[in-house]
Amino acid sequence: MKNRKGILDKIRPIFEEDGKLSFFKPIFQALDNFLFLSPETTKNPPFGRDPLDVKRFMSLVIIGLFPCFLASLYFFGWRTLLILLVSYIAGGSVEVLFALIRKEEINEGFLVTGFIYPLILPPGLPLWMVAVGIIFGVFIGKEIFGGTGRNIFNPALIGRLFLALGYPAAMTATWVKPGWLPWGKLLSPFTIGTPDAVTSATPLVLAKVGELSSIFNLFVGRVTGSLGETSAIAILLGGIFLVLVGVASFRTVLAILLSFTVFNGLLRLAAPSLVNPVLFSLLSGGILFGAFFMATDPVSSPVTKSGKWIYGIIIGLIAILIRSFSGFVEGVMFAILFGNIFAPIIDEVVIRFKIRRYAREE
Amino acid sequence: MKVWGSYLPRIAGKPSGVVEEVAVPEKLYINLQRGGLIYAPVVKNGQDVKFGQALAEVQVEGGKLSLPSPVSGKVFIKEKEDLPSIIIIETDEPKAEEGVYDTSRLKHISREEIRSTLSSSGIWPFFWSSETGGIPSLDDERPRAIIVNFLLSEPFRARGEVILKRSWRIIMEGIKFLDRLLADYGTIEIILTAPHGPVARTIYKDLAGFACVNFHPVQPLYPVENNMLLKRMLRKVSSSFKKEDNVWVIDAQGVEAVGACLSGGIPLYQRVVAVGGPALSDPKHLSVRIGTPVKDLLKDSKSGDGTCVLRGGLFLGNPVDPDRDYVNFDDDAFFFLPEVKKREFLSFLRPGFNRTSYLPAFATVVTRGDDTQVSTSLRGEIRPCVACGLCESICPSGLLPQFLHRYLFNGDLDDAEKIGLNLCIGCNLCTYICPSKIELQKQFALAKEELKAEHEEAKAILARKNTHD
Ligand code: SF4
Ligand code: SF4
Repeated sequence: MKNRKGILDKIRPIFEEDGKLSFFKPIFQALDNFLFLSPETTKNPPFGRDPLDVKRFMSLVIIGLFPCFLASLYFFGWRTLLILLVSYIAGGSVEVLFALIRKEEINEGFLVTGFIYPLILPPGLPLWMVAVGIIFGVFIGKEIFGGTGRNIFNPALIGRLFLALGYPAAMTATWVKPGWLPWGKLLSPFTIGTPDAVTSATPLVLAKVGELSSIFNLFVGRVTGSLGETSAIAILLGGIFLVLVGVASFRTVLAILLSFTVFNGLLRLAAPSLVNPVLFSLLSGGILFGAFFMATDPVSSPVTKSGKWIYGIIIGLIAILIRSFSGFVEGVMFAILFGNIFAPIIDEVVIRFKIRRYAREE
Repeated sequence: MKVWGSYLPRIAGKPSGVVEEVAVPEKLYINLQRGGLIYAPVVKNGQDVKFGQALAEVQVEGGKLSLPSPVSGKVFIKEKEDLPSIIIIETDEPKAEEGVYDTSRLKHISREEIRSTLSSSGIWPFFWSSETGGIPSLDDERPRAIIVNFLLSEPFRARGEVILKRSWRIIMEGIKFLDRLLADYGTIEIILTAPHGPVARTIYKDLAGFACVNFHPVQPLYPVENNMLLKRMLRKVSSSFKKEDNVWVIDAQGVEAVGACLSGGIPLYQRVVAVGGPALSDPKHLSVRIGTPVKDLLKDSKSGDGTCVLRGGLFLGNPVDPDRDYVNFDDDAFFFLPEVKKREFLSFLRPGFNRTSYLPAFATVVTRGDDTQVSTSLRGEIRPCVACGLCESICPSGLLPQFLHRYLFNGDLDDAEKIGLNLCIGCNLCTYICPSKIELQKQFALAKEELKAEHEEAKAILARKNTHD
């Protein structure tokens, strides 16, 4: 340990105010902060603090996403890893560039955005599109709002939205059939370009023409779909972990899933020909992944506890409406972005109510 | 009874129930500042004083408060530049403490006499009054209720149950005297932990016949001991309490002192302090003479360099210099916090068998281990608010600290006031928990002061205008 620390300490002066490489200080600092606990000490009471920090918070999210990542490796092969790398490198460059310009520290938040984003993409998407999407997402979705903590929308979703609007053909027709053999696609050859066997038939598309995929396949994830979204079991594993450690708000998750289920059930009663059965709906498309990992992004969801319930209900409702009655078969992305727009308003309303209580107590 | 939020981290170094006597040192140091008041010496340099004799006094509304000498000895006054001076007492041969107040008329002692005895024996400041927001006035202020709080939850303050065990009879006496300070039909409200513990059962028995006593079992979560919170809790459990009712609060050592003074004639001369924290090898309670140097508390404990000593508990305590600070009249805890030595490698990836967090995100959730790693380290980088909402879940006042922070960050004092800035009790929990390491409470405290100044200014302007008209 001494040695590792020693090297960093030796090169530290070059990055300080008048050092040769002071421009790159954020990069050095990010490395230093990543490897070692902050040297800061407390200046105000309480003089001892809780051990939880943003790094720990973010790393828990990544642990929660890992089952989905592994499932996507299994079903769609090693190309997933390549997509992840592209996402990190392209998005990370934007992040670092802005940190350098603003002379601010690099935020850990990007490690999550860069990890979530590939998991909501079609497996066969050309790599350059992956890069364009994340660059757009980080730049428009986050940096122009002033960086992590100030953004209104989930940056990963903004990236995906950009691709969906800019390259609709690629985004709807680069699905890949999952590996069927026991070893999934782990032994398949590595393809850098778009794989040959692409299709446009996801379970939701098939359902529109009356062909329901088997519940078992949906549950384990052996269906076409976005990289990390197909396997319900992997999502539940990671998602429930996140809820248990308290990083994802159970209020948001529950509200979305309940409202989605209830409205789905009611609509199915009203229009059975247009609306899919409840269990099929829950397991297909991005609703589970969205509920556990996308909508729970604390920055872009309401901050207040009661606000989270309202937010979840709105998202669940909009998702099922878009899915059933619009040309888009997958409504979750739009539903969450809608929710993001409403989040500050929901908070305002909740605060109005609280103000009355405070006035009574004072 | 339950409050909003609240939390009690499992911190290593909880003091055992043992109370050890610390020998009276040759020199005692009496700080002339107590609870924001500065007392003026009433003794002369070189004068001999007796146990219980007033050393210094201060004039307050309706009377005067005194600091009694905790020993007999010779007095030296040490002036300090721009600080309140200190009285040094060279102690005589130690003698058994004896009553200095007349207790013969005990049975019929009047309210006025109780008040004057308690204020000249240094005990009156142990009361907190919701009317004044501090020490009750010595005029005929009579509370609707007195809360006797046996719960000091902050890690680690002298525990009520330890004090109770030590001075059971005296405390019961004390409680009975409190009755005479109450308004007509006033009540005594006793706050304890487990309603079924042996301690609680015996109190029930001892005070059972006593008409105006109510018991409130409360979960021992920090900050139950906060006076304003206690009053709010009372209003929650009993609708007969109004916002404007005057409620007093006193803790275990406070009633103990009341009992000792009024039934035994003994002034305030010693404190039980809890010494605890991860830097101590044998955390325990100590019974010390007021004025003992803090460094005398550590004699047998292995600690020293690399330790930050906090006066008070982990959440509210401020660092003291063990060589230059002394046990004050109000002290009941010293927390020994290790200073950080080295930066941990990849700390955020560790499972965390040795740290506890509000969020169940470390291995101690399963092992139920203690946090042995708490130190003066900030334990993370300062970041913008990530909107995790933890501060909202933990706030015992049910506030939205993240919004207070946002508004104040944008300089929006009025909106912050609207969302309850003034309800903040300054418990520091939000600052403790914030993963972005934002100094929330400090920001709120500064804003509250600013707000107060603004209101006063507005009042002054209004008054001026009225006189003009
Ligand atoms: S310091 Fe104030 S805002 Fe923070 S938790 Fe305590 S009462 Fe709430
Ligand atoms: S605990 Fe800190 S980071 Fe979390 S919401 Fe509150 S202020 Fe923001």
